[in-house]
Amino acid sequence: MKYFLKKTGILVLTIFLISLLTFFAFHIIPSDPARLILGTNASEAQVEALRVQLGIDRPLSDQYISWITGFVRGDFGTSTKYRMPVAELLASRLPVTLSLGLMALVLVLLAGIPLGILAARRRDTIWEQVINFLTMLGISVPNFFLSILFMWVFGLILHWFRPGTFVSYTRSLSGFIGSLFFPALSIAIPQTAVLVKYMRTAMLEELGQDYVRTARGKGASETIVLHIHVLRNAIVAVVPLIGMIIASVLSGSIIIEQVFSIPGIGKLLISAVTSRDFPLTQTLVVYVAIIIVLVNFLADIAIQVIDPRIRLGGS
Amino acid sequence: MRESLQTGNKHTKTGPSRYVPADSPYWEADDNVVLSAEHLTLHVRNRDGSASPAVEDVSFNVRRGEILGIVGESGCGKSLTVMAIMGLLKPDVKPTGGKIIFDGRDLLALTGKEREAINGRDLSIIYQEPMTSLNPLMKIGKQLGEAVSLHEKVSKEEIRKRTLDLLTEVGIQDAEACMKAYPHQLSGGMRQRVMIAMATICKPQILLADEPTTALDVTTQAHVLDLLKRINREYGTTILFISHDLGVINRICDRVIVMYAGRICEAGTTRAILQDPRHEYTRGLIRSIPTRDRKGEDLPCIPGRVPPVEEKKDPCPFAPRCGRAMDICRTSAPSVRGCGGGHIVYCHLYPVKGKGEKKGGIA
Amino acid sequence: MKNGKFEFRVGFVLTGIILALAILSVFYTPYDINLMDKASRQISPCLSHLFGTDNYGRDVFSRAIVGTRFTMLVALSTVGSCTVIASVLGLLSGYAGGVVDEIIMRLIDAINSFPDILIALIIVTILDYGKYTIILALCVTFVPSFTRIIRTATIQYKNEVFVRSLRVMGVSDLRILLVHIFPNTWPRLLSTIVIGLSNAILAEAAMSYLGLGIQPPTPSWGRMLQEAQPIVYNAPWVALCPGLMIVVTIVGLNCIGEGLRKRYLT
Repeated sequence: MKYFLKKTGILVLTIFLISLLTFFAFHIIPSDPARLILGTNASEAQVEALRVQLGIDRPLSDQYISWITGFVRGDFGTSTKYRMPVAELLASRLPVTLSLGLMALVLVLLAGIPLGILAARRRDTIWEQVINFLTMLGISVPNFFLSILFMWVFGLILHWFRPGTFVSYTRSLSGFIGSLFFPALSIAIPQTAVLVKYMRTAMLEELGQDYVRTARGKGASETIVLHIHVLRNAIVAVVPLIGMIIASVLSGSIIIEQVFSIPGIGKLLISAVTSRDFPLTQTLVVYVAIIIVLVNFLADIAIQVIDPRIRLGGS
Repeated sequence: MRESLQTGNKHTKTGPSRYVPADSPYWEADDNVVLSAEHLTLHVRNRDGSASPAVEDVSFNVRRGEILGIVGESGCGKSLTVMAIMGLLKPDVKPTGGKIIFDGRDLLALTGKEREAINGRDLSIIYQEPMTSLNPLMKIGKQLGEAVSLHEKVSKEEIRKRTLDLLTEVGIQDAEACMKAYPHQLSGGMRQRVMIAMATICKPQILLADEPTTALDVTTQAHVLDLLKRINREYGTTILFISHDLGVINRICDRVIVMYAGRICEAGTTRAILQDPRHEYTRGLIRSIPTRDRKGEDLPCIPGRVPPVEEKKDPCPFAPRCGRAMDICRTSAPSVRGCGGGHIVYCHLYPVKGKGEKKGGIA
Repeated sequence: MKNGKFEFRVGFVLTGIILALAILSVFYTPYDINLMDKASRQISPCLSHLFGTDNYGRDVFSRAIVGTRFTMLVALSTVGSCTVIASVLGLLSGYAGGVVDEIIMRLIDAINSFPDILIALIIVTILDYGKYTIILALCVTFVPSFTRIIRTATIQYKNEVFVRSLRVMGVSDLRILLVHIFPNTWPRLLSTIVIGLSNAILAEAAMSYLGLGIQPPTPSWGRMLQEAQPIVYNAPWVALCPGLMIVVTIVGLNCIGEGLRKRYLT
């Protein structure tokens, strides 16, 4: 309980720091957002008017407080590019990105854990070398290059999907999942490679532990040793890294949405950045960062639940 | 120490030596032998890919119902020998010669399936580190139960009952609670008791104990030794007991094998070894046991160090540290010599004799 | 394989090839990288154009090897400046301890709680696009992990007997830090640098792909991929060439990193 409170305290502090850092990053800048929006041809009066309209003529601390209180209440300000509330933009894009991220994560876990076990099980054989090689390759391929390859091979040559088209979940759920499959796969492959690597290392590490020797001394077969004794310990060792993988999956979706023209948070963020839409960028950055911090927080809590050593040590 | 030495030898049977290979003049057949190592040789792979012998030409017999000790400094190959018996050698250690005969079969030639059937049922092992030898994420009850269910088809209820009984028997007060506990919730002594319970739950013929008391404090150590002795007496379980501590060996073992740098140097009854040591290494070991009547004196120790496994050794590996080493020690390996009463020594200082030494022993 | 020799060999060969091409591109490219030629648009790979030509008739191979140079430049300057900053912070934080350590570490933690790409996006939004912005952005994202590694090593060596006896001998703190502790952090730092290089290359490629990194007409791998995407059906080689060069470089660096890890850290 004490541990939980402490973790929650750190969580709140981190979120506060994130908002503070982001806010000041966007406000201690040499360039004037109003000037950037209107361009160099606009008159000084026009620029001044926009500054008042954007609220950037007030002191920084005032601006921060009004922004953060709005943020807490769900009022994220107005996008200068889309001329509509950021909250509305967010609401329509968030389900898309979360579905994409979830699909990618499921793919990562479904492929990564069994392959990690396989690599440990087939250690010192040609299989280990093959898996090691594929892992190395998977880690080294940029996800957007993979996307382009998928588009070319599966989209344009094999016609399994039509690149550049997106079916909304409000129209057809299967179409929605279909249009997210290859994007999710491109995000998943590098992360799967990372997970396989961790999983394999953790399994081999656990295989060298004394309790494995004990199990073998009892007469446990290789299958029992791996699946009953080693696997659970290895997964406990890997859970803290799952939070990191989720963060990478979300980061990956920012780029991949751009590649496949998927109307999610990532694509919104990139267009906000390129059009220098400060209110939108600022909110999206804080929003994504908070999601990732929360995920890591949940991963910490999950370890508490599955590892009896920490579970009892903390209470 | 004198006193415990007497009790330690209670079950000692005198008879011909059982440590000698079948092709030696000292060898005699004996139905009582339950396990025997013959010319066992193990090689360790070095970093550069070459291999060095870590255990060389080791032969000994284990008799039904006895507690046989193996003593030596760390790195002398005693643990490796035990691991070879259990088939638990790390991938970088390979048996390169000899046999380990158990139940008419060579343990070194078993398939994985045959090995799984023997481990835990006929041969069992407890380790030096009770802290890390239990699965940290599995409840004690389940770990004990697994040892049963791997070898016997019995109901869950039956397993539970046996586990509870056994835990009580090894001296755990609240066996119910212990079943539900995770290893980290138990003390070191409790964990070693759990390990012993787990190793004996299938009533194995031989229990291998690899320094089971080294990591424990002195009081707990005494309890665990008593427990092992009781198991030996009540169930007739044969115990192969590894230790670097002659004091501990003296308390529990009927017979002792002294190993140095991967070879046997001397073997015999515990009494013979402690009261009439022949090998200079054994003598050094005994001299360096602290005793009350030498209080205040400097504790003598054996000069030099155990050679690392990868180092090239003299034919008698102890020669560089031996106060009485001769030229022959550096040119030819000493063969086995009998000293009577099953006492044998591998040392050039003693004359090689035929079978006639049985009664008198060697000067 | 155990001592990482195999990984080293593969790694050095692959990165060697890429580096050699990058150096070659300074003195010689088969074609002018900006030469547009309507007559030779989307030529498939042949002897005169090893990797064909793009939509504007520019030689893909020439552009890719010049792109290598810029990518390498960005990656090296990022990791170089990052190493310097992180060394100062890490040594200071680890050796001084107390309040200094606390302040530096909290700051590092705060930056660390942002995913790398968000930091890069923030910096790119508030500054102008280009080489220097991308170097700065990547540098900020990498400093935390580098600092941590140096700090951990510093704390470890600070408590070793040889450092304590140096202090007793009256050796100055600065000398202890720079002459006696810092060199000991190198093995660990070295593998971090190699992994950092591969991350920097991937990140630069991603930013350039998004149009937020190196600006045209300077070629860069990420940018080339972005330009190749619409014509991938007709001219897949335009995408394959820079893409494979990224993969080869990263595999090479990761192999070296793995080799270093096996040799020094196990």
